[in-house]
Amino acid sequence: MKVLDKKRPKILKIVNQPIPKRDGKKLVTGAAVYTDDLAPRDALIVKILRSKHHFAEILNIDTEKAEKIEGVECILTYKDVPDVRITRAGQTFPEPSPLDWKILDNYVRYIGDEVAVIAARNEEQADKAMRLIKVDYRVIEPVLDYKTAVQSKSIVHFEKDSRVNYDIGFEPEKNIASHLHFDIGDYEKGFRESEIILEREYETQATNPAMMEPVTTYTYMDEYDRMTVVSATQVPFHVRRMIANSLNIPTSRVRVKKPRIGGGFGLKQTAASEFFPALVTLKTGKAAKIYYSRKEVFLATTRRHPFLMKVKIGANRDGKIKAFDFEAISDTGAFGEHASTVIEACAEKSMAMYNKVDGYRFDATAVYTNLPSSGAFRGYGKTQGLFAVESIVNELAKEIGMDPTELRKMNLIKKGENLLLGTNHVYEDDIIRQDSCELDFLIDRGKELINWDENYPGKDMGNGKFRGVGMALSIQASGVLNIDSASATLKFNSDGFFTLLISATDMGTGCDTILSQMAAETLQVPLENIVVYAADTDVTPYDDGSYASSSTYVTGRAVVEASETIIEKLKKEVSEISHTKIDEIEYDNGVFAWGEDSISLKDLGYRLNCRQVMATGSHTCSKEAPPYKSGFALVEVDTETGKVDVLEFAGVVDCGTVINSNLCTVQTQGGILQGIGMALYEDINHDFAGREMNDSFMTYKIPTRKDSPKIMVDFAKSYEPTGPYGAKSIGEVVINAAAPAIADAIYNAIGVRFRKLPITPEKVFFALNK
Amino acid sequence: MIINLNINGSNIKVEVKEDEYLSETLRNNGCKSVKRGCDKSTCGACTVLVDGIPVLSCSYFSHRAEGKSITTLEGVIEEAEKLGEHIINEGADQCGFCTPSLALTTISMKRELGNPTEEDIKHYINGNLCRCTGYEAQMKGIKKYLEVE
Amino acid sequence: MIRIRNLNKPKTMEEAWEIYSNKNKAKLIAGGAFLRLSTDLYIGEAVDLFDLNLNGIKETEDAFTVGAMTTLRQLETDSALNSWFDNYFAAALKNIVGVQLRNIATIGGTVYPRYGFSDLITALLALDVDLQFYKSGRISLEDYMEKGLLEKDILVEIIIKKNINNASFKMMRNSKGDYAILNCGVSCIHGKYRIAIGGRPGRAVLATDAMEILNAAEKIDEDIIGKACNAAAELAYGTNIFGSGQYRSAMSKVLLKRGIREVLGNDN
Repeated sequence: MKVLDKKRPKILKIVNQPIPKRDGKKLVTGAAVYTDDLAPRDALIVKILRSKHHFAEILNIDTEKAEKIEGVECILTYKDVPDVRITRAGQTFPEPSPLDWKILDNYVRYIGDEVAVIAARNEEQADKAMRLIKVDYRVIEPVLDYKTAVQSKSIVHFEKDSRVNYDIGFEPEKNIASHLHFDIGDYEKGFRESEIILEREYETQATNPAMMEPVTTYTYMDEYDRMTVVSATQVPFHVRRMIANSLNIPTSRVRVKKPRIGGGFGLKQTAASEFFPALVTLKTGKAAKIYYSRKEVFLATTRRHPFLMKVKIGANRDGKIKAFDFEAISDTGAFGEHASTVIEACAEKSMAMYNKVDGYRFDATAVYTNLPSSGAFRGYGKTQGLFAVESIVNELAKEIGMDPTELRKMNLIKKGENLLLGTNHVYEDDIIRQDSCELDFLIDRGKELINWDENYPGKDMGNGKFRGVGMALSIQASGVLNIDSASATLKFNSDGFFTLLISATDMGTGCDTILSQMAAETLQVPLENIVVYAADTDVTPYDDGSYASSSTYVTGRAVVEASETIIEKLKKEVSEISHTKIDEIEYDNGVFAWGEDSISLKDLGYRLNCRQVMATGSHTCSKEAPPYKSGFALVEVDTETGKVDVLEFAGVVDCGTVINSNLCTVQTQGGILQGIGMALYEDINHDFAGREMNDSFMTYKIPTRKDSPKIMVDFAKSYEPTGPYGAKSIGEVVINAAAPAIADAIYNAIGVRFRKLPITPEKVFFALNK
Repeated sequence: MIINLNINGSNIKVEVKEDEYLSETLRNNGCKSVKRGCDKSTCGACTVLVDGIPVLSCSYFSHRAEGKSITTLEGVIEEAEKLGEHIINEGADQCGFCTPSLALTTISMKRELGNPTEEDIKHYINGNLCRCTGYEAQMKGIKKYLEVE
Repeated sequence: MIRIRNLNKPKTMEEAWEIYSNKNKAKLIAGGAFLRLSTDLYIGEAVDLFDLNLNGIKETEDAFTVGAMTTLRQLETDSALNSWFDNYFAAALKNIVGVQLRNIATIGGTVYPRYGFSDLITALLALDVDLQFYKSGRISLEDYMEKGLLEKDILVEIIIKKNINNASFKMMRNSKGDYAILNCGVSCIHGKYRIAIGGRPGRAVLATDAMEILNAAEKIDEDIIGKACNAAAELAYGTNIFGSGQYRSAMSKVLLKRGIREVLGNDN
């Protein structure tokens, strides 16, 4: 396994600096750079008629009246699409998800499922036509409770043509999309020898990524009669494959481009809107666009898998943790995108920090229900698993009368030690060894920031309000081991500047900036001499996309490799021009020198007009280099109303080298607030008929400014040798610690333990006033 | 119906439907800084100033804007750049989708309140939701902008 | 989509009334902020009140007269009004979504439909407020909340009497941008208490039993407050996604107790 040059650069000029985002100026002045800003004015407007039933067969669709509405170009139903099932999950091929989804089907499987696609010249016409479509349904008894889905007589995916690429435990006849079971080490011995065993049940709710830009796509046929899809997507190459497969077009005739994205957090890792305008463009030859309403974003895209988790922990009274047993059911909703990978992610990392156990067992089942599909959302199974595991560790601390920070320090993995396993059952030392791991610092620093010693466990403030502190740890991954891959290409231009071609998808995360920083640092040129062009499947090299926290760590490696390679190639050119041996040529800060002579990049550029010098670097994630984070919460509970206010939150992160301190700080603050939202505010409610009621920001509450506490962030001095400039990822690890930290802080404040999220004032009130 | 609108100082005649909202009209007439975050009066991303007062353009009928002066971020670019620099320096320009409306609301707040406290600021801009940043960095940028000017 | 088939923009009240009274399905549009709460809304005949000059807050010796098209933000920031009522209106309105929404939503558009979730209505009901209708004339807010109107009418202005200037507004919400789970206005003049509770989720009502207990008492002590709160908890409370009836009932006691204590504190 290739490790980067062991000589760490002494002074970093561009990496590890708070460089302003390169697209910042245009973003803050309202430039027209998002998908809908770029859509052609005369694009057909696409609207979707959606199912009002949880589960039904479409017996008949009558579009006759609707088609007569002025301005309507076409109305498409399941009869107009190829009979092909794909998965919408943005994952590498062969996809680990069941291929169980069709663009339009004659069965609908959740309220919001697509029934018909209408394209008209304006929204009003499309809306009018939509209302005139008559659908006859045969309603089928739905599966609405994931906890009993396996026992249900109703089968969500009864069809014969859904299939999997390889075994993921797919048993649709039992409503099981995926099942994972394994054990590691000797957990039975661990439990046998435990002096204390706790068994608890935890439950996390479905939460919505709720990014500010809805889901949107426009499509058109270009001058070569190729389908161009411009979409706010995290996964352009996966979308290209999905469009080609679902519409029966050769992949070579599909192009996907990504403009600025207004946030994704995983929601835009599952294709949603892309299919419908593409279908319309295919049928009509005309440009088409769709802009999901906020209601559609809430009810007809994807969200976090709810998890019901039964956890058992075995330990000695001196604090040594000996075993875990973790059982879970997750609700993957109407389709199985991300069903298997979310439970896998949960399995492999939730207990990973406690590597000194004798063993653990993991068993999880992802079930189908007739609810909107669950998908990817920051944290991806680890958020749910960590809520349960970190909570039970906190409960253990209480049971044995130990400070939870001390208990953890006794049991945590340290630098130089191995994780118990790597993703997909990898056990090689070189891969699972933690060469960067600063958990002790994360705990100590967090304690400092929150004044742990003074505030632990809690205080009676005297007016019915009680304060408490709590903490938890977080771990994620940096890319998916042996699977996540990325390439980056550098093109040398005639004025001596470089074009960096990447397909990592900046959705506000700043990877365009961060990857440019890495290129500029390696090429030793000012940042302005790197031009970034990203995410165009015709032009930029393959990248899985920005998910699984891979852009800094995996794409970064590719960028560094491409940068090093192009310098070597340019040296070779200089060697030919100067008739000097290549070993005698030195490169430093934009100048090639040999003997007394030298040539700058700029001059070299003009000399090399006849030869285009380019270099591509590729990298596949080949090491387990997870980032770590500690979360510390100071809460105040008003016992009269049950209201919990987070007064302060401290997050300390080990993400290896901090490539850009401003961007990393803000990522951390944003992730923490999303975690607070999950802990206290965000929920999905159903009415008596099982219909979801959270379809706007009034009914789905993301924290506002006034709800947001003082958030303190710090970083460990850490260096990951396999990461570009020592960096690991940061994108997801930041969300995981908030909920368990807050739950324990509440316990320390009022002595009540909450194991089901969100922890609303009403729940707290009634727990105190039984 | 045909109405006369004054958008960022320019008078134009526009054809609008009776139920058309200002967000749609503005986006169709070159003001792409006005974002459609929810179309349900809940997120603030569509904020514009009508006669200097911040309103949700997704909930303001275009016909009501007749005879009023409408300001979008395109009309206060210099001020936006000044504030923008502080936002960028804090790394608070993440996905950027909420930023134009936040900038306009902040500019309006500066005119209305002059020298607000942190509490005043939070209160004034609370209707501008953000999912990326956790709000801290935006607050820092805004405070720097208000101090310096 | 919000669809309007025929839009009327009357320039005078007479014109507005002419259309509204004659067209059966005509709907008034005040601020229009609440229209967006619906996903789809079809209005055949819309009567836009925007150009009728019903905007403005006038102070007289006895009252504040507030035009029906005055925005929530104007009420929130009016210095004379907030000075007289000691920032009561600012407190009641400050958590409604954001300033941009409050610059569109109007008093009339909130009061006329008697929305259950409204913080403003509860705040007004705890004061001595009359409504001035175009045809029906002047009726108390209390009567309007209880009975509504038998016939169509247009709300012209509300009259907030100055006779109460010691008032407290309390609310319970989870997120600060949320609808209130419950809200409660308490006012007192010459020892007489007036209590309004709203967001039940039903529309705001006067807690008359609680008021009687307080107003009959010689001295307001913890025992009396407790009894009044128990009476308030007996009002009808329902369940929706923001909270259960039981929780609302329990919160009514907490908010009322805090409101009374604040009013007692102000008195001193």
